[in-house]
Amino acid sequence: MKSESNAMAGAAVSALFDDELEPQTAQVALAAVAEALSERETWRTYACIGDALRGEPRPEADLTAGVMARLTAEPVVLAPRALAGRPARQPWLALAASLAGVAVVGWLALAGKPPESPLAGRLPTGSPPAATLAAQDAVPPAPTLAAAAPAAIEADMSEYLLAHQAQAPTLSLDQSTKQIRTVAMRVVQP
Amino acid sequence: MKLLLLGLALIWSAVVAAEPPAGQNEGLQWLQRVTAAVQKLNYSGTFVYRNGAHSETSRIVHLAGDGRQSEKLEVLDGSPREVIRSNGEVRCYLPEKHLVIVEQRSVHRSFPALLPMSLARLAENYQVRLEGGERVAGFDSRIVRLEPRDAWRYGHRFWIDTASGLLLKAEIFDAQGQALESMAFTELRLGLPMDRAAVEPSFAVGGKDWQVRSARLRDLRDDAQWLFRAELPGFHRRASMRRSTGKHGEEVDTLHWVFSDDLVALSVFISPLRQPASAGDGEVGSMGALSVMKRVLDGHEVVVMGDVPPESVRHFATGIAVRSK
Repeated sequence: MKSESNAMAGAAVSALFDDELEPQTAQVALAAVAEALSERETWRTYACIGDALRGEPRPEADLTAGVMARLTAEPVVLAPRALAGRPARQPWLALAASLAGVAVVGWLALAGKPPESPLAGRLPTGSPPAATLAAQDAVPPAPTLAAAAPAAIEADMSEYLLAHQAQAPTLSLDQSTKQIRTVAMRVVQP
Repeated sequence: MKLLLLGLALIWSAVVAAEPPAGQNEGLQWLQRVTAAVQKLNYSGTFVYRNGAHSETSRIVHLAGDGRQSEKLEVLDGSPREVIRSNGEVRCYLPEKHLVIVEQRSVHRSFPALLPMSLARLAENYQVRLEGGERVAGFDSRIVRLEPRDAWRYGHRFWIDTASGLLLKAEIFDAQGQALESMAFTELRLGLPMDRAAVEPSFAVGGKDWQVRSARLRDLRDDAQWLFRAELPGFHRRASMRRSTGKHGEEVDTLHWVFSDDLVALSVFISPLRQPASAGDGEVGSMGALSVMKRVLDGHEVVVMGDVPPESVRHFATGIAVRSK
């Protein structure tokens, strides 16, 4: 019985990848994918098959697990046609040297960039039109506020770090010494 | 029969687990002394903070003799930054940015001292053992090593003054045994006279140039909207609070949860999204032993930071979700 429903779900996922489902049906199939681990495996398998058939290179294997974990963790709008190729991954927090020899934290903050679906660039082009996964309505549209100045981001981060360390039960030389990190932290825009 | 065997096996494993390895109890007792020493000693000294290739020298004065703990830390390299602690309040002075960040006394009384109870629980996540001795800043020390029992956390080493119990040096190391971050006294004087002036800030904060960042803290009672679905073994929720700040010219509420494995902490900050999602959304960054990940979730900015490996922060952050209405 269970294997039968698995097979049915498998067929649905396969059809989903081949763009053969109505939006309504696609939504149901996607919800099913998010539900069960076996379906997630199926999804991955079919994604692999699809990629192989189209001769597209696979993204790094370990990314798949992360993407699937996020799929269950948050509502995701699947709108593959609107998603262009993901830009090269840039580290937003990286150590760099400053003139003062202080520990520097770099936070890359680009203005006007819409929040990306974790599936961006990883879905085959033949996927169904926009379908919503999970109970949430949709990811809100990209905010249009002006980008916060690096100084503001830095102040936010310093405040968080101070709070993190002050409210935590940690064994340190004493309370102030662990806050050396807070005053040593620098946020820069590379 | 099977049940009986299983029962016996469970009892046997409990017996084995209850037998502490050599050095564990002694190691825990040394850590206990550290907590006690910092609460009653007056001292001043110079210490070096190392983070990869970077290092910074600071001067610290710690007064505890009158039952209250006050501290002043001045960074001697680079811009003259300061950390002042008095009456449970911590202030960071960043003169270069004309910024003072204030963290008020915790709403939770037990923080930040490491309690004897939590010390006992340390052994569940770390293998505690003594590693001989070493001289640090002219003082003889015992080294207590905390080897993590899994890959979710880093290892720690503490150099403790054999006479006073004061922590002379602390180091955090990764799975390869490589030091990620350390703090160590290079010079230390114990038993200072009580001089309150020595722990006063050097900066007079006034005028319009200085920005003071201070959050009002309240207990967070209703946080059912947020789900933490990916657990980190050994980490338990220790505190949850609402932080109200006058950020960006508007009152902003940031939710803050603290999770801890009784040695290190992991913090989650969730605030309404105030700026466009950065390209770094979903990336994990690190500074020494600190790992940070930022996510955009349901119109909120989620920042997870902790003194744990990047993978742990990523695992935890990825499991945060909004409860379906």
